[in-house]
Amino acid sequence: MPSRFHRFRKKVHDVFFASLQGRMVLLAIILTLVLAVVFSVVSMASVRSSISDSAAAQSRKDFNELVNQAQKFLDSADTTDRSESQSLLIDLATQLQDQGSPSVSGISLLPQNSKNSSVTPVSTDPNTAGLISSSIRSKVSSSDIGDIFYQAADLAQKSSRSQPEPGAVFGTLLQFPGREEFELFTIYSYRDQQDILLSIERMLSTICICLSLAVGFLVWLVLLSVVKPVSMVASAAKKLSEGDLEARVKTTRSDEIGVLQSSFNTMAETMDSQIEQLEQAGVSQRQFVSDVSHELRTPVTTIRMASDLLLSRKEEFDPSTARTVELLAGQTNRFESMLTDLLEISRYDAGHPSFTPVEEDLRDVVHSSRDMLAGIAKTRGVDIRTTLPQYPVVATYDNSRMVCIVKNLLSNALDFSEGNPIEVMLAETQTSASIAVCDRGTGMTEEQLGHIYDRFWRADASRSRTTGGTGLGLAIVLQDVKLHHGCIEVHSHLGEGSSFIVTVPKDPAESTEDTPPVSALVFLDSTSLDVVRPALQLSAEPQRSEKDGCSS
Amino acid sequence: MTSEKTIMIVDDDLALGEMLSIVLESEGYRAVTCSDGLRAIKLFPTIHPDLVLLDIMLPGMNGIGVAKVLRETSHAPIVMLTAKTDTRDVVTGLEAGADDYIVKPFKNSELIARIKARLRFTPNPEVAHSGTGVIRRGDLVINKTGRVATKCGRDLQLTPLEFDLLSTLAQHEGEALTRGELLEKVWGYSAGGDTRLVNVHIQRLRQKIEDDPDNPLMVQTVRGYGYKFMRQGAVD
Repeated sequence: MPSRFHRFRKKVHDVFFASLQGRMVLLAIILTLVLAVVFSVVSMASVRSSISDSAAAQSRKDFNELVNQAQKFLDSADTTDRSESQSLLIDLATQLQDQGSPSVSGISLLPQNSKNSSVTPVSTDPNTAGLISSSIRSKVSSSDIGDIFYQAADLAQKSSRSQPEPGAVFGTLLQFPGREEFELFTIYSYRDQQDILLSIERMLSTICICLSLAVGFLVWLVLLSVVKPVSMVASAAKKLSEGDLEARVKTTRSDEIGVLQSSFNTMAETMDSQIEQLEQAGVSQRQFVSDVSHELRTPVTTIRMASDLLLSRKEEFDPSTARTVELLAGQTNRFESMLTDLLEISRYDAGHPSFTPVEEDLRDVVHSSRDMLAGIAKTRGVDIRTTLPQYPVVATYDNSRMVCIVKNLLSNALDFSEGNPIEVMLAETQTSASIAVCDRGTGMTEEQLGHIYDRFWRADASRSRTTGGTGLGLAIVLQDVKLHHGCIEVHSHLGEGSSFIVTVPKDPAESTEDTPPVSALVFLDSTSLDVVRPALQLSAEPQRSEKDGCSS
Repeated sequence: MTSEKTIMIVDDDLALGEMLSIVLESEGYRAVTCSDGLRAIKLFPTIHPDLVLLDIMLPGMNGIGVAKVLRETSHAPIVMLTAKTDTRDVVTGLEAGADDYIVKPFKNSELIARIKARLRFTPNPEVAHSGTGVIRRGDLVINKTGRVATKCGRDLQLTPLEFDLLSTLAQHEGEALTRGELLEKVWGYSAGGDTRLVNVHIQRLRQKIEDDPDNPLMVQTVRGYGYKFMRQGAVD
């Protein structure tokens, strides 16, 4: 039960605070109701008192007349007989009841001394006779002739009405000439006045409820005209916060709401232009990097040609000059490849990498990249073994980028192979193709794996770069793979080697980012598993696997 | 030296132009430099170079425009020098008539290899109609000795490169050649050539030899593999 109550309270709380409109309407209704009720209670009290005062005055006046008539009647009567006296009293009571005002509910005539009186008490309505209290009787009986006494009474007990029926008992002493004295009591009912008061009360409560509902409705209407434009601004602000910089509000008014609308629009405009400026700055900065790398290429070409020429005439120089020329040529090469990679990365940063996919045989990619690095591999004494299908593996890809991917992976593998053979494999599924480059060299730790795509990051800072790695290679590979809607996986064990597996959809146009190409593990599990496993001593579950591009 | 080949260098960077001529001259070529696109067009007929090294970014007229103008009057091989590999410039340059391109910065050996590959054969008018080494395919006649191809007796006006491409394909008639193989046989790349070279020049060749270049009958694409010169029966 307490939890249900708690839930109910929470629900009320939620409803109350969730909607500004609901809250204001509820408050308006409650406040109006309270005010109207207070006003009604106050006015009812004054109406009640004035009505009861006038009723009391009316009945007093009526009673005076009745007393006069009764006295006259008694004075003119001439009876000595006891039985005649009794009937005379009955006549008098009936006559008074008839002549009195309609509010007279009952007339009672009581002998002053009931014990030794010759007559019995007379009452036109015995029910009302019980309302005559002993206190008023004693007051009347001990009073002088002509004094009038009054006491309020509730006639509800007399009738069967459940509502209270106010009334009054008037009493006085009458003189039966020459005989004993009688007490006259008249009971007045104020039922009519009470009915009027009740109907006024009912009307007032109806007015209270109607008024508060009307005020609530009015408030709702007013709020609607305020809240609707405000909520439109609110929804536009929400859109803006979600990154829709084009979100604006229609300016519909010239009042405060209109100011809000136009201010919002101005704010959005300012923000939009600020962001645009920032973007422009970013773009121009990236463009600058791209331009610088591009502009540097022409002088580097001249330097490169000069150093090549000098290098080809190395024999003509003395040993120290010859060595200088060698160093110049080596460093020029290094500088040049860094420049190439920098230009490539800056193209990605600037957001316009070239991508011209053509349907070709992926085996050519492996051949080309292997041939490009054959020289370096030979001088290192590293064997590059390729395992390719006997049939063409046709996919749609950008040839130069795919060659760049495999070349970078191979050159990386060469750097870390420690003289062990490198495996390059190619396999396909129905919709995707995978190229794996595996070395049995140094391998990487988990911590190192997390950084391999960072720019200018080195697995081992003390290790020299011998194949001319620029530190941008894997960053470019990752971008290239993403450009093909593919993904790259890395499996590495420290001291056992690393394996990079690039998987690309055969048709990048059909692949969306939501449905990444079939994992290369499928490929590992199928045809080439026997080759990969001994190469890496892979356990069934790779110790650490980094998969990039697939989930992005 | 009578066999000395003349190479025209069109590049606005004077240092690079001079360096290029030093390297070329050390290889036994005669080099003429020119740093302006419009001047290059004016100079071309007077020098009559055997090969043009053409930078894309030039004052006066850019390299693509120069290539287009030169190609109208001459079949001299044009090798573009470019710093940009990613832009449409390379493809547009090739479409404008350039035979090959080389990306800055390049190795001297690479440059010389490219130039040598382009200067391997020069048309020899004396043996043009000798009738030896002739391949006939329907209307098409390929005279390998004279390095002339005709269709219905009309000279197809093929550039030396286009001729090499056609005769290489025709020699392997009915056999599909990969782009890599074509790059090696025609352009002289041992590895890592740009396959766009093949695609663009196949298109240019088709424009000249096919009745309907959009529906080629002689040189057909082998999807995901390369290109094939159809056997005569298949052509008919």
